[in-house]
Amino acid sequence: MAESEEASTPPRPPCKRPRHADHPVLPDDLVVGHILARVPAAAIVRLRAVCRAWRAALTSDHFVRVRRALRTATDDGRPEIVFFAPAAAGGSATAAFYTCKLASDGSGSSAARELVTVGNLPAEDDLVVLTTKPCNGLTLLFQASSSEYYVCNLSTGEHVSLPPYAAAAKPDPYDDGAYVRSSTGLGFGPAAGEHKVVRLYEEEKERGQERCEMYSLVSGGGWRPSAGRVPPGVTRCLEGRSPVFLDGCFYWHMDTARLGAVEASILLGSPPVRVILSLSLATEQFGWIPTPEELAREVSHLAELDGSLCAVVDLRLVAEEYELWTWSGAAAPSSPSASWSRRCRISLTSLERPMRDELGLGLRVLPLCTSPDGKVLLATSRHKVYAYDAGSNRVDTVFSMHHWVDVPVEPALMLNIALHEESVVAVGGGRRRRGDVGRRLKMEVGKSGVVVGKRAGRLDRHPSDPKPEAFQMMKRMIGLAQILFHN
Amino acid sequence: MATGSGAAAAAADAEEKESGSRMITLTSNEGKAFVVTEASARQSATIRSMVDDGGCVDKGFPLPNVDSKTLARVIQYCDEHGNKEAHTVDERAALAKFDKDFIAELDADKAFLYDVTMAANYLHIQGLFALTTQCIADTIKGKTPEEIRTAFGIEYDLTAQDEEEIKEEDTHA
Repeated sequence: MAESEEASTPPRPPCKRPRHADHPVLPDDLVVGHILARVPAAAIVRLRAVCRAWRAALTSDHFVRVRRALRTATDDGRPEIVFFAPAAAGGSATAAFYTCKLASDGSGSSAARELVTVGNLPAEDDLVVLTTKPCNGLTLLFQASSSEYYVCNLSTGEHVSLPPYAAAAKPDPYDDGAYVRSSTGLGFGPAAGEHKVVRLYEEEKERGQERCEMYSLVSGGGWRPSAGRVPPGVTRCLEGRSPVFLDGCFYWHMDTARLGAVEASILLGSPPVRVILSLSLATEQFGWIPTPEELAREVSHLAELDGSLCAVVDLRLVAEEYELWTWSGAAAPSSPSASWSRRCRISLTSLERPMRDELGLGLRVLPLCTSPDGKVLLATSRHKVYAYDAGSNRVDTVFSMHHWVDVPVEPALMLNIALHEESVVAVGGGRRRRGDVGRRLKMEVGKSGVVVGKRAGRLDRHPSDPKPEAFQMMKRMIGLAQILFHN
Repeated sequence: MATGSGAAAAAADAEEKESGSRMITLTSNEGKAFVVTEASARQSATIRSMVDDGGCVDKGFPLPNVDSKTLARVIQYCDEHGNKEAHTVDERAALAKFDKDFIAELDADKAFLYDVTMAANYLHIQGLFALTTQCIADTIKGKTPEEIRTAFGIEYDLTAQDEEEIKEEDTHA
């Protein structure tokens, strides 16, 4: 019976498992490939303690693939998101992660389900999900206040905390903000079958020392320097966000907002051509993604959109529009034909109010994916997801965290909405090393089927959101400044 | 059924309609013959491909891996899904209701449920196989490892090292 090809060729269990006589039995491959593959991920960890054969099967890559194939065959294709907030019960030190399926017409996101609660992880304003979608099933979390990184499987609750690392420098030694010259990302190498965390930073103790370090989740062994040398000056252009990871490469956008014009031209070239830095997970060598000058000047940040590297161009203040550009080269970075193309242009002036004001506010926009009906889903730092229809240049709200939970303050570095994909991928390849360091999180996997109550009549806006009038004022001032300087 | 083009599909449809009244004989491993409509038999991908390949429809199909009791139950499912339409909301709801009652009854007798699962797998009856495997998965989901070992007749064979790893992994501790 084949929903998937792999299902018919399971690896042999390492040992023949003994059975009681006269008991009804089903063959191993049927049980693992078709029955266990239908058990929710949250219950899979417990099933690894049944017997050796199940233990081996349930931690195998084969099982992950079988499950994914079965899910793809039965799934309705609606994107699923994860969002988090301080848990309603359990005090401010408890973070709750919820999941919700989206429909781009706004009708389907009617139920959110609790995924996992973490008893010792404050989610108030300094918890960050650094991955906008799981990287081969795993998610990278960062707690700014305790400077701790966690790699988690949010479906099963399995996690590791990463070993201590050298502190990164702040842009200004007296700055106590969230920004440091550091950026951390999670990647997965299918050839080696392992997740790696990369950290690019400038050392706090030795100013000017730029380092790139890797940590392997399977082999462990602490942080070690990457094989390739860090191109000089790049850590001065980090804006704290995670790199995008796609097809074996990390991508960083070089942010020049904190640099002077001269410094920027020295580091990035004049015109600025070196604005997207890449690092290959396999070779650990750095490179630059060719970017046309006009685009290079205007990229606001990077994202992933449907398997392509995507540059978000934020022209709200000057032209009242957003643009999304995608690069065709992520699958084959050395291909000479790789090029950038404009995927869509979201013109705010032609949107109806209040959407025009809502999208025009000072929020960060991150594309998540394209929905089955062709709309681009955009998550924002104001805890909402919008669906953009390019044909009609229409934007609809398809998800608002405010309907479910008391929203935390806008996160300083990232959004608290990401794509979700249920997965049974074992953290650290299923091989836990003795003496793993770091704090254990108190993970409580949500009872499947427990639905979060939708709340009626909640404020649609966070008290700290700027008022549209204030934003209009800012735009007028910028317009005025432009006139003054050009004359 | 793999049809390369719309025309081929239409031809196959026409053929199916034409042969809709054709009866097919399935024989259990105990030699008992069951006569079913072709539409019902086509629920099984195994039989469907044999019929489409011009197999000996008249002689019937011996099923050496399926006993009479199991085959009767499998045919009950195939008759419902093969002979009834599922175009309207009501028709689909009626089928869903049938499935629900069908699986609830099977679930009461685990050994029989496993036999039907094996038969659905052997005969490649996708809907029935999904129904029974999902039912077994739902049972497993809420059970402790010990309960699962009992239910599936699995002997405990974990080593001390395994146990230590499991203790480490136990995120609920």
